[in-house]
Amino acid sequence: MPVSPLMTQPPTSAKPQPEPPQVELPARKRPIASVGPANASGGQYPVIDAIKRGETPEPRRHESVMGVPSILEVRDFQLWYGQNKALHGVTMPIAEGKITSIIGPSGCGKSTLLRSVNRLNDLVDGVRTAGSISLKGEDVYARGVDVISLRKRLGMVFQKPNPFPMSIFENVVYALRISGERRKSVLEAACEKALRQAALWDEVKDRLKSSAMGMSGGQQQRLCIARAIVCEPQVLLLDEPCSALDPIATLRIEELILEIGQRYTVLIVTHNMQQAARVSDFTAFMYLGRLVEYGRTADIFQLPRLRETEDYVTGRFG
Amino acid sequence: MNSAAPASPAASQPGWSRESGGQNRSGSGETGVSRRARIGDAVLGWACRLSAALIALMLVSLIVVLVHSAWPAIRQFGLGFLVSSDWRANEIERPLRDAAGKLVLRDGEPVMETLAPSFGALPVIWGTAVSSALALLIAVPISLSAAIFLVRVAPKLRIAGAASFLIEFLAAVPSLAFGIWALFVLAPFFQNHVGPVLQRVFEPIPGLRWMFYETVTVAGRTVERPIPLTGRDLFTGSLILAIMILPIVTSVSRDVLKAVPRTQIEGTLALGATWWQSCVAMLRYGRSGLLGAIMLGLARAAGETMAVTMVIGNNNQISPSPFAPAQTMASVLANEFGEATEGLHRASLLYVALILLTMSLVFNVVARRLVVGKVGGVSH
Ligand SMILES: Nc1ncnc2c1ncn2[C@@H]1O[C@H](COP(=O)(O)OP(=O)(O)O)[C@@H](O)[C@H]1O
Ligand SMILES: [Mg+2]
Repeated sequence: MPVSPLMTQPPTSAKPQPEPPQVELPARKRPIASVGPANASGGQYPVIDAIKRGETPEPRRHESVMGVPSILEVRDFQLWYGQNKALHGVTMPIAEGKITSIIGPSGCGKSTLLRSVNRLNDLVDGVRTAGSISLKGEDVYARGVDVISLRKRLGMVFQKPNPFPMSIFENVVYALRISGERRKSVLEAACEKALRQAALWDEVKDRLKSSAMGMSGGQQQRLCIARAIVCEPQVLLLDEPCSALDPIATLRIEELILEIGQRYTVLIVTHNMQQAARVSDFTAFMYLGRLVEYGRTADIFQLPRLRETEDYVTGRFG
Repeated sequence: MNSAAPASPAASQPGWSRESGGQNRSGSGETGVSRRARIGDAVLGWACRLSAALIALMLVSLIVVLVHSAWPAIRQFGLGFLVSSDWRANEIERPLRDAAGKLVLRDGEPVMETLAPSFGALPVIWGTAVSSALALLIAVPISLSAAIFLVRVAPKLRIAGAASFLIEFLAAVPSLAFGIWALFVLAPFFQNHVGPVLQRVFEPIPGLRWMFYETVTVAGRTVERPIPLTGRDLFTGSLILAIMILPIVTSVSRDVLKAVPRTQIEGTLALGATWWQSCVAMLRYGRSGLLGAIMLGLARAAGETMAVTMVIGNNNQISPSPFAPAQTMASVLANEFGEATEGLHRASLLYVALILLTMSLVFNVVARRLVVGKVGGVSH
């Protein structure tokens, strides 16, 4: 799929940029800064300026990401919180079996997008959506979709660890319990498997019956990951899973995400650029409810096609 | 925190500057306080402390006075008072019977025995315990459902404010009003409509006969007779108690549930919990606070006087049946205190009052402990 030029740019600046070659280059040329009217950034960031004017420029989606088989397809997805539009026609495929990260400044709609996938936004008063998100070809917003079973196919981990006030064991098998699973052997096997996958088994195997509230923050977050993968979700959604953790716990979670990514499709929101660079295969950069650039993580960090992206990932803007 | 650093200087800036602005303002305010204002502050501060001390003093003096005036009964009956079911205000004389219930005769004449006035609190403790327990049994499920409604449904329908107001209004209705309603509406309704139906349904069930029959000893013979369903009994008393504790249990439960973090609810939903399952998770998270709410209700039920006195039947007896008249600690005080002229009788009533006060204090303290930690801690 060819990357479309910015449709909203004035003609003087609509010069299509030459496609960089797909091989990774050690250095790259600056994109030509366009000069147009009403450029708040003095013409430095035309795309951001267009977004700030309320436009929705066509994002730069690299063919490297558009080509891979996807498990989740977000198509022209829009979301309003009452009068406020939080997502403006986001279109992006999520590669199956890979780790995709979403980066962007606070309030740009990363969490909103993530929570739209498992329809957690349904709970918020006054939410409206348009467009579609499909999981394995099924539109999750279609009429008559069973939201409960949809959520059982997805796992989610939140910003702050949220263990339930019960034992470690009961936390892990919660998803099975609410589905009516009572066989002890099944629960125990599932618990051990999930805890092993979450790299927590050795630490807690002797105290499965003790309360999860007494664990450290990092352990609690790994427990939440174990809890989210106990039903082998098709996609694991992580919303800034390390933002409440100290650097060491963060590192462990990142290792864990890399490991879990071998088995599951992971969609992770983060506003920590290094984290996105370390753990993900693909990276999407969002700004004010729009997708700005989306490609392989290596490309986004080393060969971004937009100056905006480059300056954002290097911390010069945002 | 490493994740926050590069991305959001813009986001953290306003918060930081607001904070420092606030500090500046309060800093300059401190120096501008005049001497007079400071003296005013001190006076007011001490006045507040004094008032607080006065309240504590009142509680202490209440206990002291109660213990003092109950002393004759405390000395005479000791802790045995708690387990004795005698309640004789006056000395009575009656024919003496042997173990088999036969009259003891001497020269063809029945031998008389004299029973001194004696008091025991077991029947009223029983009445209080059973009526409070029944009231909780009725009120707690309703209150918890209402609290869930107020927290999870009413805001969506935009009626949370109105519904909460109604419930709190119910708490402001004087207990006499409830009593009159119970006496003139609830009791006759129960007597004429509910009681007979209950009897028809439950009496044939083996093992439930005790609900409708009592065994009494009349002239040495044990007979079983039906309990008249008057509508003025333990059951109606419990019902009115349940209605009266609904508001407090509901509103405290609502506050407890409101304080359950959103991430807990979303956490369960994200795992595929149904609406109902997420409510259960909410209740589980708030369980100690909810227990506190229930304890507050229990304290109120145990101490409630007026309405209960009007419908509980006021009979100092221990009957297993909920359809028998009973007596509670509060109702025995309301009924008998006015006419208790004799010293020991009066002291015994005050002993009952002391037990009631102690119980209420314990319930309240435990309840506050349980609630305050939950509602105050996680408010944002
Ligand atoms: N529950 C909500 N109700 C109303 N507005 C919301 C709600 N959640 C998020 N928003 C708004 O939607 C926008 C995107 O928020 P969010 O998705 O949380 O951003 P991010 O996760 O990227 O920081 C923000 O402007 C935010 O104020
Ligand atoms: Mg967020």
